[in-house]
Amino acid sequence: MTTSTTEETAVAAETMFMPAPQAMVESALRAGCQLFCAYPITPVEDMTEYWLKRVPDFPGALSFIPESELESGNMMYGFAAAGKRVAFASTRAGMSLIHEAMGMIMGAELPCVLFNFPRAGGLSISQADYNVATKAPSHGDEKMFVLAPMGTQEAVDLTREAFYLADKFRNAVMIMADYTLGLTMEVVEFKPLDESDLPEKDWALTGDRTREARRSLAMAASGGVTAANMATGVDETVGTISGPEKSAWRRHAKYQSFEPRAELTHLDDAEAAGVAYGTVARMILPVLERLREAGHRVGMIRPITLYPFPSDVINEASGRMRLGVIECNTGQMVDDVRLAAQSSAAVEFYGRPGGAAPSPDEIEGELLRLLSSANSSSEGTA
Amino acid sequence: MTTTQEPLRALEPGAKSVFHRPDVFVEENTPWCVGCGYGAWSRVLVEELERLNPAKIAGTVDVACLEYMREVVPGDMLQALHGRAVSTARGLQLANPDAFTIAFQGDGGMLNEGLNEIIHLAASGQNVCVILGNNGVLGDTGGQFTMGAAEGLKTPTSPEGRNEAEHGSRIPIAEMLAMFPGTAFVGRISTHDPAYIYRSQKIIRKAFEANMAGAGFTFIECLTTCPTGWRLSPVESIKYQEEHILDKYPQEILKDWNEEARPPLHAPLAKRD
Repeated sequence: MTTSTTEETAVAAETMFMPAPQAMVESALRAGCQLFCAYPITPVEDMTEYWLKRVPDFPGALSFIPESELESGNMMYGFAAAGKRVAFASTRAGMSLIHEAMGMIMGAELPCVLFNFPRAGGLSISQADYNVATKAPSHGDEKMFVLAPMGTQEAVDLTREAFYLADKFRNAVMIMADYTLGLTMEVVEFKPLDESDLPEKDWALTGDRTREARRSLAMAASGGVTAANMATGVDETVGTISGPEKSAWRRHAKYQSFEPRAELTHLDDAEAAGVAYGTVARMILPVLERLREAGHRVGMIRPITLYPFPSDVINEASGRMRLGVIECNTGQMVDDVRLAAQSSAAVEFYGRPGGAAPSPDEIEGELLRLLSSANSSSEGTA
Repeated sequence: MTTTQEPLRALEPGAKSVFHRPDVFVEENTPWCVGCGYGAWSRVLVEELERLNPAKIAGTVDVACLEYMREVVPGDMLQALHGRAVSTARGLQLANPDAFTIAFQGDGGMLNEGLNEIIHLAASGQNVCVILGNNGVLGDTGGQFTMGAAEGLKTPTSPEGRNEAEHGSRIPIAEMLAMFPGTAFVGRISTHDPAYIYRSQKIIRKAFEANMAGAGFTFIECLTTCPTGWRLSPVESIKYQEEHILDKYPQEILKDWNEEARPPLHAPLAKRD
């Protein structure tokens, strides 16, 4: 594996005070990432510059800089196909530019890690890229695992783990940050991760001619039956369940096997709970504590995995409390919450799109309104 | 050296085998149409690969007729997206700098869908060999013209013939790429008749030798007939190739690699034992 010696060679201290994007790069290097693909776009340019500064301390890491996002996506495809660890970072349109390549990468089941810092048209927070990340990360049936850190330490830990998970599931993993996290600077600690259970990459295209040539990596991708599949005999059972169909179902089962994660705050006795992820959840936390101190029974569900979505937690909570989804968009995660809830009537939405962020007063007002609507509806049913 | 095999039929005493089918070809019928030029140059290309015998071979194929090269090349091959075979090969090469890396792209993929990628590769000087199969049409989808089509070529999307006023001019990609300092070798070949095939093989050999020496980016434009896409018989296609294409874009080395004048940018590649 590529990860064993990086901790020893790192000169940086185990605990550092640093901006979140740089901390994520440091974590990626320590995870054995060897190619960092990014095109300058705020706040990602700092990541490339930090990568180049640190590369000399990590043998095997390349100082190569791709010319564009479009090429990054496909270089990532080729690099990952060779079995080496690779990451891509961007925001908004830059993410859209690798959309096509991601279909190939996920169809061929290649590991890679993406850092996403969604922002609004100006330079401000946005969660408007929730749907594209969780619902349709490319053409086809493929899915990527989406992890949403709330702060710098969690971003570092999830980055470290993302490379492990990518290899374990042979799939793309996205760290869904946001522009505010991209501007955050905090003390972080870098911890090692045991990866000894990862299997050997016996599919990697290394060009080695002492073994049988490997040619089938992308052949079962969800494009279905192409002339090439037909000619090469990959799709030998057309008319019944074809190779590509079997393969699509197998990948579907793989996506389902990833266990969702969520953080539950003051949920046990809550009558109402906010549902939020990333920086928005972090904005809610101090408000939540203040309301709790004042005796209000409010809580919060923070999905850490946006895909797969922690539907079971939402479903259970929706049976005993009112849920208010707070997002920096016009309503995206709220659809998943409504699908998961026992009744969509139990779910409300408060959105601030276009670069706006809810103020603490707004959040407090929304949580209190939610609480009062929970109380009035429970009185109504009593 | 070319891998040899016993002749299928016993030779007369004193006779020797001078021509046989390369072992590396899989036991399949050709996937290409009758009269397609790809078959002939895929053979000379594989023979030259066998001759140089790299220890490691990795490559990519574009989505198009050329993707069948995946089955022909004796190495690890990756199917790329249309127009993205070059970037994908660059990623593979970054991960395997000790492998002979080759990318196959048609004119639709290279000159229409992904033109920026080949230019960036030429600028980078990465040690990748790129083969452009240029027949001027998108053969897989019924022969619509591409930016590699000759003036006058009649296709479903240029029914009156390709003309500059309406469709723009042919992109002279080989000439363009030869201008870059990062480009070690640029050649243009055609395999529409045996004499051309013979000379093509020598041009391919030179490109591959440059890659083996670590010279950097090499490029071969292979002008190819597409009787299906051109709506001509194989014989008419060859005539069209000679009269309308080869007169303007002759078979030649546009940029030769000279080791003394331009030392290799990269480490040489190992041969198989």
